[in-house]
Amino acid sequence: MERYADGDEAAFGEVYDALAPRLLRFLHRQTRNVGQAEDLLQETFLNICGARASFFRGARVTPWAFTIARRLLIDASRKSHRQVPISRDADLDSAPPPSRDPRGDEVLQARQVAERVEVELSRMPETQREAFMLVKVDGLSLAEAAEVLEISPNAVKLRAFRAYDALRASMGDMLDKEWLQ
Amino acid sequence: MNLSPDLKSRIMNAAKREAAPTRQAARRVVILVTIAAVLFAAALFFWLGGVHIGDPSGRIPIPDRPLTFVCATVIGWSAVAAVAMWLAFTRGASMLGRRLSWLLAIAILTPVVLFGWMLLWNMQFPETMREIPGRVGFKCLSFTLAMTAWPLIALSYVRRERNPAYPGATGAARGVAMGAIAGVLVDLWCPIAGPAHVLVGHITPIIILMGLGAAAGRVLTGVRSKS
Repeated sequence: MERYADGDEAAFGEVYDALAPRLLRFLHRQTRNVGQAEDLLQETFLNICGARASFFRGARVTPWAFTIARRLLIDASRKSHRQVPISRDADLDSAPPPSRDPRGDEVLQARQVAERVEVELSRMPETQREAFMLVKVDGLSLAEAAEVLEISPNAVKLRAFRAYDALRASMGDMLDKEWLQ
Repeated sequence: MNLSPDLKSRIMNAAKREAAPTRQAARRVVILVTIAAVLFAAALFFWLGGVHIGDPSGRIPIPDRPLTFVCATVIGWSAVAAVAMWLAFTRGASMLGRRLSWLLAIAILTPVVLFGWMLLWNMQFPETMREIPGRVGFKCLSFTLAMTAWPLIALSYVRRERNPAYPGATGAARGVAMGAIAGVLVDLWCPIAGPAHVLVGHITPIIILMGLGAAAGRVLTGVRSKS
């Protein structure tokens, strides 16, 4: 981002490669709509591009990019006058029928766990869910998630831990530890 | 969730069309606007007569302000304005800017502290509390707004910021900070220091600039979805 802010146009591709997968996952999880998530991803990058001159040395790009994406999501959902669903995954509805081979069973089981995790997460307080998702799913560090949520890193840690604890309590053995790592 | 190469090329092409200025180019424009604003404010200040301890024309029946009073109020206002400018125009360690509590504190407390400081020195020099009929403070109000309104909007635009967190609160804090800086010049220029006059002529424009800054911040630096 430093190089892009200084005028190296090619560096924007690197910024895209570093941020786009996580941002798209985040946007898709919130919108449940691939087209809308891609549009919002484009708008997020255009905002980053338009504000490159204001990027100051040593600043972190990830929390800024996630907050822009989050703001765009809120704005888009306000404009469309609908709540963004968070507990159902459209991909699950269009999932292919389960296969009979052992690997297919594993995939099906993983999907069931993921679906159950999402249901459990949707029951949690918004604050805990957000902290948990940003850290465990989107891969932000505690400090980055703290910037996005405007709370201290310790508060992020506590909220994510409480969410994890609630998940573990409600799902027990069904919860694959690897999913959370 | 996979990223398609087509999406990347679409975003790269859209970014090229955006033609956003680089950091160096934007900095040059910000410096130019700042210099223009300072020169304009200085020119207006001296055109209106510069420093007035009392009324040089003798038309206002008011004694000269004590020099200690003028120095104390100007130093106090300058210190508050400098701190407000620094807090409002820098973003701390994050691209997301300062916390909402800080921004609101700048926007709300700055006018209160400035008025309180003036009142404190009014009490030390009771002769300065005299109100002059017909001198409500509209000249001071116009002077402050003329000096700061356009630079506030121009700077909001040329800094090219995107403020996804609190664009309105950031703009409000910046408006108040710029109003406080202009207030120092107005305090040097205006021979009337009565509390009612100060409230209308010196504090009200700061509050107007708070609103203007908030609107400029939301419109020019806020993040909005086009979809």
